[in-house]
Amino acid sequence: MPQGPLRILVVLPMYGGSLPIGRYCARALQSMGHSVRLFEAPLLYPAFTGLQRLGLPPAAGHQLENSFLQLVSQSIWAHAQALEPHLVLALAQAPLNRNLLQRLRRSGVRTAMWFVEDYRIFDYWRLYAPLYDVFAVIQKKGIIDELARIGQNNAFYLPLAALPDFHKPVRLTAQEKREYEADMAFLGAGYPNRRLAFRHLAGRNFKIWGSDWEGESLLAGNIQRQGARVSEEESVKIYNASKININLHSSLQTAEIVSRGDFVNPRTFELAAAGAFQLVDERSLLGGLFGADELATFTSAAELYAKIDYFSSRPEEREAYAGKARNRVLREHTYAHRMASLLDYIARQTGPWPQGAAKTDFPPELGSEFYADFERLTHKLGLGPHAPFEDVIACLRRQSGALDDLETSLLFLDEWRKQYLK
Amino acid sequence: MMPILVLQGARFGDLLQSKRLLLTLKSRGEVHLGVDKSLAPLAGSIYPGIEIHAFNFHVKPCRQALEENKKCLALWRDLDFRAVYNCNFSPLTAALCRCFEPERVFGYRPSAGGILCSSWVRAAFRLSERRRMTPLNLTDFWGHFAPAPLPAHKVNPLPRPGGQGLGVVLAGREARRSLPVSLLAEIVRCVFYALDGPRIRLLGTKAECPSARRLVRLLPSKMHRHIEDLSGKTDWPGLAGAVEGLDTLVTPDTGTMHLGAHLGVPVLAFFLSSAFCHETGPYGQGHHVWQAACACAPCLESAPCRAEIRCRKAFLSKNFLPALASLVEGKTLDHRLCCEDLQLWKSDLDELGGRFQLCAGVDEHDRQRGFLRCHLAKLSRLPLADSLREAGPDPAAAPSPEMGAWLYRDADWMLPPGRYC
Repeated sequence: MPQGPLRILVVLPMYGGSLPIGRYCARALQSMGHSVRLFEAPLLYPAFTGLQRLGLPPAAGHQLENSFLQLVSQSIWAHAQALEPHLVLALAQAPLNRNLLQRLRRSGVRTAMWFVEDYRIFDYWRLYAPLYDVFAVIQKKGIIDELARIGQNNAFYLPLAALPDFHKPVRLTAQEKREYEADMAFLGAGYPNRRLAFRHLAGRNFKIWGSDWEGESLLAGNIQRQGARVSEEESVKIYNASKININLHSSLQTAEIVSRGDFVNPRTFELAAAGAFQLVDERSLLGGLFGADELATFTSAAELYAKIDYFSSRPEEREAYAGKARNRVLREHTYAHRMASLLDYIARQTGPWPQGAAKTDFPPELGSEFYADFERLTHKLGLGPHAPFEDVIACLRRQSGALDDLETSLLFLDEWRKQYLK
Repeated sequence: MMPILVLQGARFGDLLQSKRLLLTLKSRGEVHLGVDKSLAPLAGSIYPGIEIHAFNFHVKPCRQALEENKKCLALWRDLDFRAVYNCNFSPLTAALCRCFEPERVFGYRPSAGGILCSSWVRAAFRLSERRRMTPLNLTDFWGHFAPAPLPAHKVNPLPRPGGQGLGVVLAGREARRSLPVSLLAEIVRCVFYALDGPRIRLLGTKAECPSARRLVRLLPSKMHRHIEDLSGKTDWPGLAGAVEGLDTLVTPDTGTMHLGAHLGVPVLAFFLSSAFCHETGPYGQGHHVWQAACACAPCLESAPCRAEIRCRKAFLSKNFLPALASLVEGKTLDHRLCCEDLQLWKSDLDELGGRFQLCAGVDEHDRQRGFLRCHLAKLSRLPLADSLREAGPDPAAAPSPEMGAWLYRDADWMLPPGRYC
């Protein structure tokens, strides 16, 4: 573990499935006491969609697309210059182009990518992987060797996780119960194997949440909100409200509805952390993460249907599985665990973190009687217990509405020090 | 279910090379096909069960044609297509597609600023920047406009000799892509004797009638009684009838060649100039293509040749005709043709679609082509089956950094992959 808090810049992708995971990483790193800045690439995404809507000739559109990505990279560089981070952590599809990665390397800033995608789907990672100091992946077989072949020797397996402060058991209001409660639920996109598997469950008390279910007429009565996207917050409520959560990993093939792939999806961890019961399809890496008594699994459509019937009438067994799975996640599979592993791995492979990194610049004018209040404040602001004073002040400046006495005092102190002491 | 429209506003060969797309869509519902009026009868016979719409793409604008087109457009509007597949990077079909909601148009999508391309089309365009490496047959380029297209082996029948003799296509639309008549005569004579003297049908338009007469003059007189000159004498059904059942079809890269593959006739093709078998070779298993492979081939059809069509010289090698005879007689071929500018390829199929396997000659781009097929398969979300892995020595291996920079662009990685731009 680093000796002191680190300054970490987390670069989010502009859109897509790895975006919430980037936010969870940032929150976990903050909770560990690190000073974290998020590069909010999604804020720039409307500029891209706006460009598309301008109706420019395609050749000009392509050029502007590239210019736009240059601009995004420059914005990340500006962030990095201002923060002087010890680490830039990027999630899959984060808009760090090759020039920027080379520039960060020359500047001595360590970079890591957590590639939370199936490496077999697209090949684009090949171009960027050698330029990161560390490349973390959610698969084992094939990819680690492949990365070594292209010059990335600091590749390691880092499975997905849950954020217990967020993915947790929640009490639902009466209205929420009406909205979300179901005997069975599935949350996710309408991939071909899922469509095929779920047709058998049409007409039952089975709610399907998520997008890309167009044209699935047989399941029309099960698909909620005409396939609208569901927020992360709502997802947790859906998990909590369903007796049986079906977790079927996506596949484009329909020959077998259970694809028997390797990596374990984030939903597995999130459902477990939420204390929800799930039936999950067997994956080759699942056994290394959960015990057979912690998750109920299936290997075929027939087994899925049989287990739905079996567990529907056994609430105690569902509860036992859910409880054990939650304990396992809290013990081993949180984003804080993953981030700790990542930081340790980076230090092992690229050298120890600087001693007393990001030394807390706690002003001496604040007496020790302030410490407890200060800690409470950092917690309230979502910062780590060792967050630097300057981060606390920056965070306070961004707050809207009236500040309380302590907050105002700290802001005043900062200005006061600037005027007389700096 | 609402019907689907496919717009194919190009020529004869393109109509046949749209077959994988059309059969795929037909297996999923009612399909309509918009083609040039001149090709409508042929389209009807090639694609039974598909509703053909004759449109005036390639006639001089006139009042009558405009009225006909307006009627067609009104009909299309009434049919309320759920999807429109526009096969052409053409302002003509783009203009037509403006009568549909843009998000229902696939392939080439019109916009206020011009023609937008799907990610698949963009990837194929990128490959065409390095044509010698390209591994994508035009039939598959269009076939993969639709997700999970029909397996490649369901497109054309296996080629089998039909007992109707030898067909000879005299020339293609572009003279540079066809062999000179003197060389064609040598080839026809060679194949004729290798096949033990079959009937010969000369095929071509009216424009090729003088070539047909010249070819006959150049052939030994004892062959003349075997020759039936059909140049300029066939309409579309007549041409199809003349091709069907042939034992072999000798041809440059032409629409008739694709008709032969469609009808299960074994094709023996000669590709030179801008013709490249990996792009427009006959589709199926077991056709053969002799490909000129000099340094400047395949060239750009629209650019003038500054090398005096040197790719023709590859067919003048003294070893070429004996090798051709061996091939036709089914004998083992010497892999070295003693002519570095000539290759012999045999057509085959895999998960992605049509591909060619080298039978003789040297191919410097085998490894890259294999890698690019895997790359395209991934873009099409196809499982990488063994047959695809066999496409190159080690197709799963990483590309060179230079090739990687060419293939993978920042925008592909960082922006939504399915976007049209």
